[in-house]
Amino acid sequence: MKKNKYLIVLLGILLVLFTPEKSRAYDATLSVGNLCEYVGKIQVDENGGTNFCEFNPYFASSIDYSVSPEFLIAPEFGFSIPKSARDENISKMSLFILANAKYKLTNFHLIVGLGLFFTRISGSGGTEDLNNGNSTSSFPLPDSSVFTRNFILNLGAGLDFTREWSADLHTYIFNLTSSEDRAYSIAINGTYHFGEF
Amino acid sequence: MKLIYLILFLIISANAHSFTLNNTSTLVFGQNEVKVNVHQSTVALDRCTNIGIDESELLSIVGDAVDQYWNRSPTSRLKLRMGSVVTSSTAFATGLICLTGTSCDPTPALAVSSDVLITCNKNAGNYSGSGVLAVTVPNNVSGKTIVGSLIMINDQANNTFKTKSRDEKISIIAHELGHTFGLGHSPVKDSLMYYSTVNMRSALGSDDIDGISYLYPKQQPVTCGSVDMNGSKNNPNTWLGLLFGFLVIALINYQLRYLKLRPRF
Repeated sequence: MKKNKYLIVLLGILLVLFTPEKSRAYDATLSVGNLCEYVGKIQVDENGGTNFCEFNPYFASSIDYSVSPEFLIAPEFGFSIPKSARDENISKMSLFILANAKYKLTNFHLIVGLGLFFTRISGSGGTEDLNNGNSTSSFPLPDSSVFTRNFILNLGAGLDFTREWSADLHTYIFNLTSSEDRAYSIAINGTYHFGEF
Repeated sequence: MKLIYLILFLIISANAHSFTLNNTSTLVFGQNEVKVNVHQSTVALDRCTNIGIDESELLSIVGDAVDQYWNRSPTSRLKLRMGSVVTSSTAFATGLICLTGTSCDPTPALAVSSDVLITCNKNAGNYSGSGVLAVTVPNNVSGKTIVGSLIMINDQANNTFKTKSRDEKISIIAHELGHTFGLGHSPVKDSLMYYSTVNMRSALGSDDIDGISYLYPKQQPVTCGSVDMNGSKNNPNTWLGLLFGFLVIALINYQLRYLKLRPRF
């Protein structure tokens, strides 16, 4: 596993070495969109139907470093709004950090990146009375917060409407190398570009 | 202003999730891979005789249950693996899972030495009615760690397990497996851990994924069960290697172009 850390450090060094000082341009962005989690992976009704996209707003921000006229490095941070549970005892939210690379074409850009996706699941404790066989039992609710952490690949594309506004579509691929638990989340957002600062 | 209220309402009301645990101590297996074995009694009469399938078919159903449900959770490190049919004494087929006169203190003689054991059981004292398909107890616990869990399938003559389709049997076994590693019931019908069977079950619900992820959170890329960026001799990580190579080559290529540099060799 130490090799993973070396790999990440090496990637960082390469990015710095091959980014000439005079070519760096900065563009701060703010995105608002919807995160569709684990598309097709979750049962949503008692007839076997699975999910496509449910309402799950998120915010993200990135700083784009121009390495060349076409090529950008864009570290990004984002989070979804915490979701209140049905019984208000359990909540869930997502956070992610990504190292994206963007390749710009005319009014269009391609995105590829790697990053970490965190899911926070928390509960306030207590019990819940639920059916259990032919009677009812009190089942404990979670009483702490837990973060899961996934290494993800981000593939996406975007349309540039104006200098200030664009729209992106991201595909976050979880567990890329494991067919067993591979999953896809799709994020669609509108982005405002603040420009150089 | 109305728009703001509408957005707030949607944020608060959408995406409800709820799962419970099967004990107050948040017991979990210590390992990331748990084998699920099927018990076969040494006495022929005490084997699975009334549920419509034998032990080998039950094991096959276990394989489908772990593959189709729990192992698909993207944010959990726990993997359940199909084990084997193990032959041992008749106690698992005839005994009581809980000691008489207790809320449910596990019967010491039936403590499962490791992982998960599924057995057919004909003792009426284990089931509050013929409609009860199975009972499950993590019955070998050390501190906060589950060492072994036992699932008893109702194998009485009047059981209703035998009337279920194969797909239903798969979801029933998957539901019981959820109890073995620490989950309680869910109030949501979409969830595998709902207390009753539903028309059709095809995948885990949100609650199920949240529940298993709460108990066994995946921690990539640092701990076991993570994406292996290095690969191994038998399982080289071609995807990530290709991606990393692509990024490096693309970066160098564009820098050389932009700076109008040419390699000196």
